[in-house]
Amino acid sequence: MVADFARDDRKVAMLFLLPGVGALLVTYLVPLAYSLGLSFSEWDIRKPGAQWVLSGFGNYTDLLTSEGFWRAGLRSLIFTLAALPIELVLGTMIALLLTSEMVSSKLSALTRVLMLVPLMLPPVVLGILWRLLLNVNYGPVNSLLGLVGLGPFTWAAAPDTAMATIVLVEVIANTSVVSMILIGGLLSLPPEPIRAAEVDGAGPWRILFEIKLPQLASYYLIIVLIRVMDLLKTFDFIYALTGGGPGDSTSMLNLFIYRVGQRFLDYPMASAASWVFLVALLPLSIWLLIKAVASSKDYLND
Amino acid sequence: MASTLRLERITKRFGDFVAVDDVTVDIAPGEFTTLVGPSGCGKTTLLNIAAALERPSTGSIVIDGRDMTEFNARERGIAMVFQSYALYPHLTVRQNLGFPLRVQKVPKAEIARRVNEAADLMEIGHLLNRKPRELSGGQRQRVAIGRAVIRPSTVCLLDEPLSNLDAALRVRVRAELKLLFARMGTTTMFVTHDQSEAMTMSDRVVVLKDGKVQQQGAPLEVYRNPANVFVASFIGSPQMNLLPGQLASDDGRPAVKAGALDLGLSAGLAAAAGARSEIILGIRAEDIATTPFANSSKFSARIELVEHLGNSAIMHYRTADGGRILGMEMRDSGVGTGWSGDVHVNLDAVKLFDSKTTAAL
Amino acid sequence: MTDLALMSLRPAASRAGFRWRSLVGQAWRYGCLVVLLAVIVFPIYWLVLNSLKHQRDFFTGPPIYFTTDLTLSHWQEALGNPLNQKYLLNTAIVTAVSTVLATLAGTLCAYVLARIRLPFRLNRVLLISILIARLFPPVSLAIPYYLLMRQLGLLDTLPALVIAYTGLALPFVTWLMLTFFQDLPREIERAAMVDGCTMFQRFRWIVLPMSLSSMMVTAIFVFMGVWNELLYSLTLTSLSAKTIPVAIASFVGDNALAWGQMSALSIASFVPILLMALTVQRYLVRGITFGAVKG
Ligand SMILES: Nc1ncnc2c1ncn2[C@@H]1O[C@H](COP(=O)(O)OP(=O)(O)OP(=O)(O)O)[C@@H](O)[C@H]1O
Ligand SMILES: [Mg+2]
Repeated sequence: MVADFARDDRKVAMLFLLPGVGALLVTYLVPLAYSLGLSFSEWDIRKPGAQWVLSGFGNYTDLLTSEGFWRAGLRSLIFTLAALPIELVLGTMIALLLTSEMVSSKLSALTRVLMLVPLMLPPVVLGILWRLLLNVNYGPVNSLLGLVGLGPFTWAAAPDTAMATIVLVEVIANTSVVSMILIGGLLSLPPEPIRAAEVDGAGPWRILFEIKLPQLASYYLIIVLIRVMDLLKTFDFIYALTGGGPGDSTSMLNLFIYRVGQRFLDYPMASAASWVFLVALLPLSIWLLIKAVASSKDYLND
Repeated sequence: MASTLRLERITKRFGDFVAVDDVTVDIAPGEFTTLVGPSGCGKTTLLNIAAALERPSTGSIVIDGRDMTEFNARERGIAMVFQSYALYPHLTVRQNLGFPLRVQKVPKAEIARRVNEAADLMEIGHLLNRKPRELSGGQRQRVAIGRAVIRPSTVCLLDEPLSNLDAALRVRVRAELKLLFARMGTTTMFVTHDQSEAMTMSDRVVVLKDGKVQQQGAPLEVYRNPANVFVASFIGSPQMNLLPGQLASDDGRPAVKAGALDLGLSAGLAAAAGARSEIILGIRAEDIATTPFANSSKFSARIELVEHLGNSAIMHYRTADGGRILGMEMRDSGVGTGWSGDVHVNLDAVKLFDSKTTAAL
Repeated sequence: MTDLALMSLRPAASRAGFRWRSLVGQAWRYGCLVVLLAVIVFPIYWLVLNSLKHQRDFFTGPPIYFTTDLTLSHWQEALGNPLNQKYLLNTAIVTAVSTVLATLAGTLCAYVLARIRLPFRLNRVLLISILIARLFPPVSLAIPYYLLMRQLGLLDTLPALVIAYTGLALPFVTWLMLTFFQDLPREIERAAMVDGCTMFQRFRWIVLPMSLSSMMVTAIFVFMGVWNELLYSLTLTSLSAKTIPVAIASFVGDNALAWGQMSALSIASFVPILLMALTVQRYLVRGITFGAVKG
């Protein structure tokens, strides 16, 4: 709106947009178009020099009738739906703990800094680290649990405990995200309504559930959206921790697509799976978009 | 030489909302014109349009007889002082002052010379190496004005430059500012919502309300002959007494009755009032006093409250029927709260307004 | 009389009750805090300890939790290995280059989107495309990247990674810088307009110096993300362009018992990231929430 005015500004604006928009076209539109074409094609990579040829919906029907794909999708869903509520509840508790007046403020400030550590840990390192910690025979976790008479657990080494293990590691690593956002929110709450409720004789639980948390609704919305998108995309630490195994017990959609493409070299099928994944994410993305764009009317300039 | 600025039939719409409505303002060379009006009446919008920061929906901007509507700020040669001063926070005062010259690729030595000149003019020579955040409000304002006057400009626009200053400083600066611009002789458009600034500083005031021009003219002219009830109530402190009344005739002589007041009308006013029966009566506080005027009429009232201004005092009168009227006394008039008796109205200064259109008669 | 006695008793009784309750509350809170700190600190301690333990101390019945018999040999092997040095260098180069590219291009885009009204509702179109791009699962681009880079002969080269990472970071930079520009008072740029600046001059002389620190913050976020990225590096490199996350991940298959080196290399790749995180701690929430929460 400012420079709607000066005539030369639009030319400069186009110039400014050029590198970014160009890069977006090259790095998103081109590969997407390529992968869309590929997903409707057949490509026999065993024949040297063979090119891919369009062949219709074959890959999609194969994919949607393959059990492996649905199982991978289901695992993505389970992983997300298991980790999200735990992270929300734990994150809320930690945020409350670290903003509580009963905890020394120095200690909680220190804890807040330390909480960055699991969050900033490179995901690959996270996977490796928990591989060491949860080693069935030589890991400290089983040994410590043994001291109180628990275990030994198989953790990531057995198909029936691997998924739970992944969820556990995910929760430990990323609950900090939830707490950090909520701490900011809690600290920015206006003190007056809380004081007023205290004067009115409301107990701490009532204040928490009827005054504090409702005011954080928008924060929770953002957290849920961000976490769901990230959980569905999780790849790195699972790759380093279990590689999708044992068997395919932790092979979620991401890993499924990666395996189909890079291990089995079935590029058309992997492309089709990517597109199904994308389309499945679409409703969620659109919701997020509506939320984000609605809250950023100022940026829209129109 | 100084330029003329003509805003011709400017209208600005934001969606359905009309922020500026068919405004025409003509500013003569070197004239100091003030746009005054309540908050939200479209003053800043009009100024932005003049500065090419905003495009008018319709209308044109003419500078020195040349249509500049399609030209940008630089081409229009306009200088502007912003309400928030808008100093460049990462630059020192020296660099802030020199910035407009640097943009115009003025040679370094010339920039240095003119920066020193402007700094002397604004008395900020000792601040040249500071950053804006290290300045007080008054100092920032000086830098902002210095930045506007450092280069030759056709028109200088000032958007409420005094509103961020404290009351005492504001009164001092407004006189200095007026002197500065009188000396430079630049054509100036000044925006304020404070009628006393408008009255004291300008050669001409333009009163705006809801995006429409209510009246324009010399400050005293606007004060003496407000064009409508809004201008009458907005310009002048204390506010003009505005009383709904009826036209009547006392034994054939035209008169107006408003509560306890019963005033005979001059022939001129009576003719202007015509056949109306309902009317709004306007009398300035200084035209109501406990001592008679040359041509006065009186009513009885009691003094309910006295606001002492030092050299004079504002009297709050209460009439028998409960009406309130403001009057003014010089400091040694000797009347005080509780006094009651005859109060005089200066009949030569009575104004009449149409009760429906609120326009002056 | 009785009323008086009651009145003087009641506050005392409730104060004692209050004190007892708050003591329990405090104990419970500190208990939770200890558990939390243990969960945070112990894994890191273990990683550091593992990088310093002798190889023979890894595979013992109950693991060794504390020992003073330490060695730097794992560090020497991990960091002395010319391959690892090369991977570290690769990572540094790729990260630095794509961070700079993405930050510059994204900032320019964001400035235009924040300040200029483009024709054809392009503002809205671009903003939404950028958000969609940001929400993309990288895996859906990995296969086409691989095949396209193969055709271009860029597989296993640093430029391939730079392209992929610049694209990955661009939407993030654009969106985050947009939220920064939104906070920048427009009036200062308007003043620059009146002072005669063209858009380029405004950007160069006014906006850029004022937003350098925001750009630094954004760049640091990008740096951290790219430095850690695994999937594209795994897909697009095999030998010479490998980055450090791939090198660490490949311990799992190739050298599964070299726990010491694994830990040493992990720490080496973590430390720069942690230092950066600490410098932008104030903005972390803003970065994590993609600018949605100003923090
Ligand atoms: N970009 C815009 N979009 C929509 N409405 C606007 C915009 N800019 C201004 N307005 C509206 O136009 C009207 C006039 O605004 P303007 O800023 O000109 O008022 P003003 O007279 O300068 O007030 P103040 O004394 O408070 O500065 C206001 O009602 C305002 O809400
Ligand atoms: Mg204004």
